[in-house]
Amino acid sequence: MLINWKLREINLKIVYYGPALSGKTTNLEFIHAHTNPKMRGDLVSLKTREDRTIFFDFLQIELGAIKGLKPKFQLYTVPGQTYYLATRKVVLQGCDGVVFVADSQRERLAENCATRVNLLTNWRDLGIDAVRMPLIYQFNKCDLPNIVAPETLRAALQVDTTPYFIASATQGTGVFETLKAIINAVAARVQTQI
Amino acid sequence: MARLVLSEAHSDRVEKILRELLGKTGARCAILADISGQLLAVEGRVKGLDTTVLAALIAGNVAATAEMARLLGERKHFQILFHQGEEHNLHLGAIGTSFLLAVVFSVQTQIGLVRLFAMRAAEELGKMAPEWESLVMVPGASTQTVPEDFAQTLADELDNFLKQE
Repeated sequence: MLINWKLREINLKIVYYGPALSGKTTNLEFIHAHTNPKMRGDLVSLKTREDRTIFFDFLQIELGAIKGLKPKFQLYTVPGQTYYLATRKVVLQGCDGVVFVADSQRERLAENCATRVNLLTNWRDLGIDAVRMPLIYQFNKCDLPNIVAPETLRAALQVDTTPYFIASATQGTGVFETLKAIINAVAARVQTQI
Repeated sequence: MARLVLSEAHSDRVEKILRELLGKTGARCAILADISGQLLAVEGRVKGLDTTVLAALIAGNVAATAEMARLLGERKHFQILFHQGEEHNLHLGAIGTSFLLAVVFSVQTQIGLVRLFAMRAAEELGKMAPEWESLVMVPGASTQTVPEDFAQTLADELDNFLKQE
């Protein structure tokens, strides 16, 4: 979080985290394509030639002044592939909230769980308090045929009271709902901290 | 939650340091960012330049080379990075472990001059940095606060902001 009182801006960093090919970049692409261009910047993607995220994707959205303070949300994705593990930790630095994008497909269940453990490990290494960090789950790819029930994903990812959204990022279902939920969770935390 | 607060007085001092750096070197612009990619301040000719994205990429760049330094057995990350282009060069310098100073300058500008004055500016900024980090750690230390019901108003207005077109 960065508050610049001269510009009356509050900058907040939200990271989309999850296993490879779970739809993190697709979330940002949908947000970019379906928001007012005046309210968002360019979508910057650092991709390999195979179209896989190598470092991160970045998109800033600005929501206009709220009570005289202009919130700016910087949305990042992390690379899902395991050989970019070090990069994930770098992108998590200074984050104010996380969206965990899980892949609902049956064969991806173990990978979801491993990535969640990896998130918790990275938080611990960075000295981030996992209990207080705003976190929203998104169970993506709900439009595909071979998916597990949300209850199964909830149990596997130990999602108890943490909010979750069922989504199909390619179709846009649940994308804005997820974004609103994480923004609200982050804003609520800002309110109690400053 | 990593927190940084720049008061108006802080911003004025930072901008003055950046302006002096530009005045002495003739560089195009100077950017102060933190290692998480947040843009703290920018001075100079930035028309048409997306400094927010640049700050995010600078932080990613420095983080990637920090890993290179580690693999090479360096005890610290690289203190200076330099990118040479056809028209512009980019000098990146670390300020302690949390902040970065980037200077964009024309290829006609002397590299040595930029390096010298960027280092001096980084030293001055480094002395100020603990103030930005410590201000919010003490409740009530900041004289300015987030408006009451900021979160609630934001929540109310989010639906308008994020209307699916």
